[in-house]
Amino acid sequence: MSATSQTIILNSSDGVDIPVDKEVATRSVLIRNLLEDLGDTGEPIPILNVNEAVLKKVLEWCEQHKKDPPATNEDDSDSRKKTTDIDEWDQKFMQVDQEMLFEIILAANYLDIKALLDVGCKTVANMIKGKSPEEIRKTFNIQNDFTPDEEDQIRRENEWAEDR
Amino acid sequence: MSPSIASLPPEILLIILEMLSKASLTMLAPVSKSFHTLVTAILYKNIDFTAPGIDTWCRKPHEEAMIRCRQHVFLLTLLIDNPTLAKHIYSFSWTEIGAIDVRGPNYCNYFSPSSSRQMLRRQQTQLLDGSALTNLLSLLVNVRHLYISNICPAGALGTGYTTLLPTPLVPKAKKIRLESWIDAGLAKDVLRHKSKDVVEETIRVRENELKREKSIATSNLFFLTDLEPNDYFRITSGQAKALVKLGWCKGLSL
Repeated sequence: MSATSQTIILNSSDGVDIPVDKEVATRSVLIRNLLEDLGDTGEPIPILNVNEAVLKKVLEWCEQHKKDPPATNEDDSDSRKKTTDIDEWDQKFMQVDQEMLFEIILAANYLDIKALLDVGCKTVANMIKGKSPEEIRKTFNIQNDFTPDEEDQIRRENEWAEDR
Repeated sequence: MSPSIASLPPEILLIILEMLSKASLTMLAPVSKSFHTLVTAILYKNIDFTAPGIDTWCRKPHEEAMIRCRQHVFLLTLLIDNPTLAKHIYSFSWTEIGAIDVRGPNYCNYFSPSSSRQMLRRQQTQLLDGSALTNLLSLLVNVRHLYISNICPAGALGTGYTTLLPTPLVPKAKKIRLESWIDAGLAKDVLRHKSKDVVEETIRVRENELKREKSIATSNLFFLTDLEPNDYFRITSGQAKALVKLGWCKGLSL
């Protein structure tokens, strides 16, 4: 296998060269397209929006999932909806502080790695589930910018959708 | 600046929000103004108050009562509290569930946790009348997909929907499906100025039910005989034959 694998170099936003298997890196649609457009020159590929720590973390995920079948567009919207099950390895992978979690999500979006973006979004969705508004604010450190009257009105307007 | 949930772009927040149940979304809406805006767009996009099985023998009375409660609170919210919410609705599905008195106090208590809220809902309920559903439909200016069923004047709120409104209902609808019993007045208002291909399905009527329900149906609530020739329906030939046989429709063009 090592005979056929080919190494490319990614250059993170903070200027660090990271060698990586092409097969791993091309989980990213952005990198795949860059390689197709630029040709394989052996030059480091600049990843402008992702720093070394986040890029390494993202590549760790890509390594684990390099054999996954590519996602098809058709089942995309349906499979994404409503299921927030995450496989065990991914759950452990996502046990990071919030700052890193959002960095991974932003990086997955930028690098166009749909499956990783999905896992990140599911992780956040699971952090919201089953919490009261006050608990959600506390979890994500969000400032309440409603007056008590406004908040009461909003709770009332969505009563029909609440769990009873 | 280190990233936080607030720094995620709206397109990513929308992906996250679409993974949440309606109940979770209602907890997220009061968190902050920016979440409220996003949640409202998602929560109201597809409104589904259907009761599958209501026109069969497999009815589920408890579920129907629950749906009826939700419908009732929804009507109060949209018609009295905040009609502007209706502009977010793109798909609207509704089964009218009759024979449950929504004016009873239990229905207000069910969804409103505080006694002051219950009081308010009870007062609001006095303002709902038989035209509540028609009034709601007239707010649905952005609806693309409409599905309504079992709309008959015997419904808990209704005494008939036979008015011809000055403007057609659901003007932007691309797909309309009317099913089971449908009041002819309401059907006309919904179907007026719609092209044939917009009307996806039928008014579906079971032959045996036709016979069973004929005495009710012929009073005023129904149906094809009242419709103008340019109102479009597609029904199966078996159903058409049954209708013709019963003398309910003359010269129905199929």
